[in-house]
Amino acid sequence: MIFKYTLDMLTTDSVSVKMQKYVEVEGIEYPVGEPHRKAYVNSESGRAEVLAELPEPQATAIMAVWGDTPTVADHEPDTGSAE
Amino acid sequence: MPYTKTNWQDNETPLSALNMNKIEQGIADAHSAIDSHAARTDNPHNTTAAQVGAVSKTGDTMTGDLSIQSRWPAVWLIDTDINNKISILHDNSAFYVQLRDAAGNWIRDLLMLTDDGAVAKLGTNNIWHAGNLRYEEGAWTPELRFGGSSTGITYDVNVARYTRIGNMIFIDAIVALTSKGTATGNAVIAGLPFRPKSLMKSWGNIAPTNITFPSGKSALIIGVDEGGFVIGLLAYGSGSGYTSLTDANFSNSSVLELSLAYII
Repeated sequence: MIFKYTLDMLTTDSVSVKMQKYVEVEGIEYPVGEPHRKAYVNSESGRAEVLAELPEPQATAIMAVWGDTPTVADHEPDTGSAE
Repeated sequence: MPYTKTNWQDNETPLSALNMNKIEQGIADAHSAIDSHAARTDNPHNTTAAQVGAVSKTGDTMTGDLSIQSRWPAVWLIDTDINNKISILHDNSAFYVQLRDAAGNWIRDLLMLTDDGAVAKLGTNNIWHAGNLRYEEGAWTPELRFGGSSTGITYDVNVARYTRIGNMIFIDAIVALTSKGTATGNAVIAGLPFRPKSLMKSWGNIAPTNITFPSGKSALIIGVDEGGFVIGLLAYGSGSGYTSLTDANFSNSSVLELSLAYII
């Protein structure tokens, strides 16, 4: 099985990573199933997810754009709002 | 006619006008034969296309590019059973695949792609519009988190799909727990396929099972925005605003089915 990764909308703040599986039959690659996507944000936790979940070449490419420090604060979920 | 040479003998063969004229005639006949042969265009030696590196009319394989340079370059594919023709051509501003009749008259466009990519049509239907509207379908993996952590959470099912049309993302997902784990705090669903860019929240629907509503709340809604980056799970009541679900509202058999559209 061949795994191919595509980095979409890579900015200094976030990226959407598409992964597609392929099988090679007689030299021709055929996609298997549908693509899987996950977006990562340049926050402390997002950077950790990139390094933990993506292959080294893709993680390195993302970090080359993101730099050494997070640009987005980790989200604090909604706790409430007045109507 | 075949030429019969004279065998000249010293002191015997006379140097006569007759013999000299025979030589002249031989030269004239040779020139005539050469000129006649050179004027033929019917391939008298049966030279093949392969012998001269040409493409055979009866079928061949090229290993280089074929260039057709004209004002309206075209290739015709002719179905000899029905005599309809498929024309592949370029007309200064767009690439066409057209269906034509036996006489070459246009019947309809099968495919059109403009040079600038602004318009593409399949028949009379637009494939995409100006701006190159992107379309994509795929899967994403929803991840329930409490207070930003997913420690100990396990799933019976956590699957999700997305459809992208231009800058709109349509998602649906099902999250069915076998354990809600030990993390505490506000509940969110992470793992979105694209980062939301909505200035205001994009709201969606959720069908909960085995969820205990916070005090005074009786309905759930989900929402994402650019700042959130995750799906918030918000409980509503009568006239008192919303509050986020927390780990306390979940059980080990909670199920969430949700759908949402948002802008990227």
